[in-house]
Amino acid sequence: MDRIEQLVWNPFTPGYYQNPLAHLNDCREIVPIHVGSQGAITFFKYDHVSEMLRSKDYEATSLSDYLGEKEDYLFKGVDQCPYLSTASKAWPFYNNGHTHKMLRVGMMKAFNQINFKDIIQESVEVTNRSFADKDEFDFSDYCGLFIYEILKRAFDLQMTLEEMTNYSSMLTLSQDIFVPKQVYLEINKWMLWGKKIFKNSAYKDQLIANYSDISQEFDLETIYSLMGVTVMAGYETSKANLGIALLEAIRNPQLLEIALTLGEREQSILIEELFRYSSPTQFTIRVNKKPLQIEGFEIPANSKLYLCIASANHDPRKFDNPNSIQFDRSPNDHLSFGAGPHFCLGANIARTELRIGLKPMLSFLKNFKINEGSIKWKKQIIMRNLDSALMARNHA
Amino acid sequence: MTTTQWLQEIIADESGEKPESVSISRKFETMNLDSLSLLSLAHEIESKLSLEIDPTALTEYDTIEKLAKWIESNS
Repeated sequence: MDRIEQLVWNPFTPGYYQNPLAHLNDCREIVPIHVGSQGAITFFKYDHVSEMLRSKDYEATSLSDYLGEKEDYLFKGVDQCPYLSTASKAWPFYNNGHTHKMLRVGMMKAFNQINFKDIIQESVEVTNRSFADKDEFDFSDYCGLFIYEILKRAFDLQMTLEEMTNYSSMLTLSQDIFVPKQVYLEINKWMLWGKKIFKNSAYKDQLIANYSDISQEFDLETIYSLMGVTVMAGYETSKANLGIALLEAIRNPQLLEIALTLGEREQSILIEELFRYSSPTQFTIRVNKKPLQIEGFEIPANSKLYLCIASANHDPRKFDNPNSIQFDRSPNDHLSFGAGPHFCLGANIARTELRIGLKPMLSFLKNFKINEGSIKWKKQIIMRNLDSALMARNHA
Repeated sequence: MTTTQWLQEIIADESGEKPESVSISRKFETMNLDSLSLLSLAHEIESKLSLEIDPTALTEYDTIEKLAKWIESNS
């Protein structure tokens, strides 16, 4: 739509989904703190974002509370059992304090009981075999299958690839901004569906046992909520990260060749750089517990603050040449997994996925060429993710 | 049914008011519509008219009169 715009963060800026960084970089350099189009104060500089993620003066906000407040409106005249608030109640990144700590302990223990290395190795082999005889395919499907194979094995999930894709995509949307009630109702259906699927999973029993070990009696709805967030974050975030990272590597022949020759330590450095560069979680939200004075802004306590992780990860005050992938960047204090008390629980799983998967996947993908014109991104704001990107076999 | 009449109908339904009490020059902010309601209205308009609409547009085109004009000039 034609509108005279001053510089305000607005994801409806033309071309935003294709390349949000152009707009985010402008915001950071021109108006690094301002009220964005979502009506909340938004921070773009690394130092601000990093401080707010790490400091105990800021807390996560509860999506579940928001959805609970909106329940009467969302479900008015609708023949659906309201489940949005319950299903998102235990997601660790929306909890604080002791509950948050306990939720994390049980989940982390469950992750540590899984042999991810073998599972990831097996999954990359299955994925490459599945695509070996194809001359054309959607790169997004390739990334999705790899992550699906991992999660299915790791968490004993009885769902198809299509179901996992839809389920996790819907749960991811529940955290986005500018979500209308029609979409929330669709998300609610998928959350109810997930609960049925989780009933017979060994992961459910594992979580119950882990919380029992630390004398935490969480009810079954809490367990289902944790299982939902495991699938959502495990699939959608991992796929987003893998997709953006691999896409950059296959578009850049020099980077691809370097990636294939690196030793273990150098590869780990490159992987961190890919996490920084791709920043799939573009924003996160915090609330300030105390009134805040910052660069001329007087912000009352309990204000909702949007922290732009993607912009912070490309801040030239922190990173030299931030908009290029530097395979030997070290140190690399990126914020792609957050920081502080809400540091991503699955960070090490995501790292292991790339440590094991990067070389065999790039070795396979280098036989194909990406169709640049076919690259489409999901219309999501908080989490950036590929929608589709076609690849065709090289016939040179 | 004109665009204006259709908007009156769906906005009345969303705000819980009678269509006749929803004047075309009345600002949405004076009705029983919060930001979620406005987003849901934008979604309804987008899907019914196959028209790409910025969800924040209803804060700029903030009356039925303004919104109807925008829809008609972009359809």
